[in-house]
Amino acid sequence: MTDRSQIRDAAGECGRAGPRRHRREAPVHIRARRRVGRRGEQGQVLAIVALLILIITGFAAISIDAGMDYAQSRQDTDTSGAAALAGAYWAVDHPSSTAGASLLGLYTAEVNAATVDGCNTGQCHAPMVTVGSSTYSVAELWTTTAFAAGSSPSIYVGSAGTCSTSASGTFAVGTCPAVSSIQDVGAPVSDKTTDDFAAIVGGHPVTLDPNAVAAVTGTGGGATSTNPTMACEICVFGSVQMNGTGDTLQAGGGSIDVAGYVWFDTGGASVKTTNSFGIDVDGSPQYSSAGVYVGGSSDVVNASGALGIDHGLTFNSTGSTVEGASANISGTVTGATGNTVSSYGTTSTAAFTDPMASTAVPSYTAGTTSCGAVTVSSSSTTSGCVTVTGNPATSATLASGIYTSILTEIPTTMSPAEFGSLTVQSNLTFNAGTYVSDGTGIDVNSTGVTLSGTGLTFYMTCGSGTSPVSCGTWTASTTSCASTTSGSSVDFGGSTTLNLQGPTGTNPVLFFFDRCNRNSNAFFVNASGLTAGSGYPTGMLYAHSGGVYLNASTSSLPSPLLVGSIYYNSSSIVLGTSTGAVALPSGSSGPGNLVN
Amino acid sequence: MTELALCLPLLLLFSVSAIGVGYAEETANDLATVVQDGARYASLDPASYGCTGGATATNCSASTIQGVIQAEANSVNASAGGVTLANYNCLWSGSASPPALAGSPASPATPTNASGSCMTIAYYASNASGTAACAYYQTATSAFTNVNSGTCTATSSTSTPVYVEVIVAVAQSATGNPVVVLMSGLHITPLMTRSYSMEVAP
Repeated sequence: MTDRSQIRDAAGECGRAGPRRHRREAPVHIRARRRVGRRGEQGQVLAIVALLILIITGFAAISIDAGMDYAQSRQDTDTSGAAALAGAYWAVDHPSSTAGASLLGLYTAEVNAATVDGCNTGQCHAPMVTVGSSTYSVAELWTTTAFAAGSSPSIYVGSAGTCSTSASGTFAVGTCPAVSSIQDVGAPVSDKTTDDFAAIVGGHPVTLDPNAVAAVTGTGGGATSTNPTMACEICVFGSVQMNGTGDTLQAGGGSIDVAGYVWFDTGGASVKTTNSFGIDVDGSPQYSSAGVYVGGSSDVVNASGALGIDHGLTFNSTGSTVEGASANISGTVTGATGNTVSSYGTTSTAAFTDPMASTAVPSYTAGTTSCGAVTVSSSSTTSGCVTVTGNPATSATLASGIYTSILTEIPTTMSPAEFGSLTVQSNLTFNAGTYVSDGTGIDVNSTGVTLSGTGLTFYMTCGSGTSPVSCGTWTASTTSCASTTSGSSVDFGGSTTLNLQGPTGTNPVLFFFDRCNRNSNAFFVNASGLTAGSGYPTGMLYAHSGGVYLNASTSSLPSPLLVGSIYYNSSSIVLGTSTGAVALPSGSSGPGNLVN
Repeated sequence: MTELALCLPLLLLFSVSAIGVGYAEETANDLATVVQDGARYASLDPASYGCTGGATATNCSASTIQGVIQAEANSVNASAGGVTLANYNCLWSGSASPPALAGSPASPATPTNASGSCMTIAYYASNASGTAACAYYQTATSAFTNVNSGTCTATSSTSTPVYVEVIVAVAQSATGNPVVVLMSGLHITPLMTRSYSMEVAP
């Protein structure tokens, strides 16, 4: 009976319940050995496990201590790096070539940087170099030769800004090198590990002394300029004034550069760029002594790239934002409370000048035929410079010549010509070439008109309808058109589709307003705006002294846009696109080559 | 049998804990790299913060501070899938000012966003009484708020230094740490946090 029960136990320990006949057949010597074995091991397992747990706990303690030591070492290394960089920043920022001056600023910069990173409390000290069993509170400099692995510093800077050639030497201001000679700056850290578990059994903390070195590069004397790259898509030689709620000036194919000021008169308006292009406002302080005046609420200046503003920034309300991927604002910032302004430097932006100032005015050959005043309508017949098709006429062509005025009431195709005025009331196709206006200019005063043609330049001069007046290249003494002969303009009085393409070549100009032409309404979008046709308008709109005046939106502007001013006269007007308007003809230079 | 029953849970606990602690150490080391690189970028280009995805965005543009931090977090321990960081502010809901700069993060809030992670970017300017926050990033508006306008401009390393602090925090539950499997039953979600501060280039 006893044997049978022991056999069952043995089978149970093996984790299986075999057939009863097998248990019944188990040999007697196996049963006996198992009884002896179980009795002989009693108590030893617990002792071994207790020992193992002790060992494992010890290993765990060592691992935790080592892990914490590593983390502390990592933190000290990072702290040393931050302090060394701060010292190098100071050296860049104070590029004196005079030797023998105090370097307290450099030392202090390292101390401050280490402190804000959590050092200089407890066991951690920086800058502090460890030499043997001694420590010295000094920053390190390399002057005669650049830092190399294992090289010693040329100079040590003590806590009083004095210098010595050894950490334990005699410090004096007179031995300090010129800042301009500093090649590298070191910021040693002295710290000790905590080793909480090791301390229980009498372990000693380990010394941590990381030492980062930062190179001094740059010219010093201030922050590196972060001015926008002047690859402008919208370039304004004067100022931008936004008088309507929700007006927008935007560019996605180049930056927005304004030589004058930007004035937000109401709320919800924006000047913005995309695709990492910047905004630069040189900011002649013509209003409220500010380069940028934000008069309304929820106005936005948002540069996808760098933002630069000269002559200050003034807010007259709250809820507006002025920001850029990086920003510099020189001058006074006032009224910022309640508004958002990017963290900014104070470096002045580079002066923005006309990149086309020395570009020659367009040359042209309009012919010598005097065509007089022409009206093209269904009742027109072929005569002089006019050739019509159909009777009544359904279309017409205009020959090259000199026109005092042109009115087109039916679809018309015209060749390069000189004209005082061109009034368009039906679709008009331009043959390739240069068109010169010496009177009031082009007036599209009907809705639904399409203007088309390739290889075009429209030269809008001053004059009175008989001969162009040009200033030639721009100089500081250039005068404007005489008061009695206002410069030619391009006036879109109705919804107009532009299928106009400029010439090929470098910096193609679609609309060239003579530099004497100071018509503030030189490019006048007056009604339902402009839309792009099958091809986006290519070639720039260049009006050094003329203005763009907007009563309606236009995303279909010729681009780049180089104009004297932009004036928004109504609300919710959008000028430009966020995707970039530039699609210059093959072989021509893009705006990136235009302004640098 | 009895001894095995007693010892096995302890051995398992030690084993899993060792793995968990090691895992946490690795994450901490990764995050230390992340905050250092993030702060470095933020110190050189402090206004590059234009992430448009809001607080939950995990893929801000690589040209933004947040994007650099996220990309760095994604690249560390890449074999384990990296660490996903959301553009959620660790310290504030978006209206309060940052706490004083103390060399260590000021009790980040446990991320409540889906990925259990967050980041904080704050700038501090020096004044007579020490350092005070001057600007911080608000995820709600995707913009920086100047706390003390006009003082957050780094023009000198000593007279007007500006410092940037980057804090990141990741809920261990979001990293797959096996210890959390045990702790989750106790509703414990330990937070791994690292911060780094350095001077903004003047």
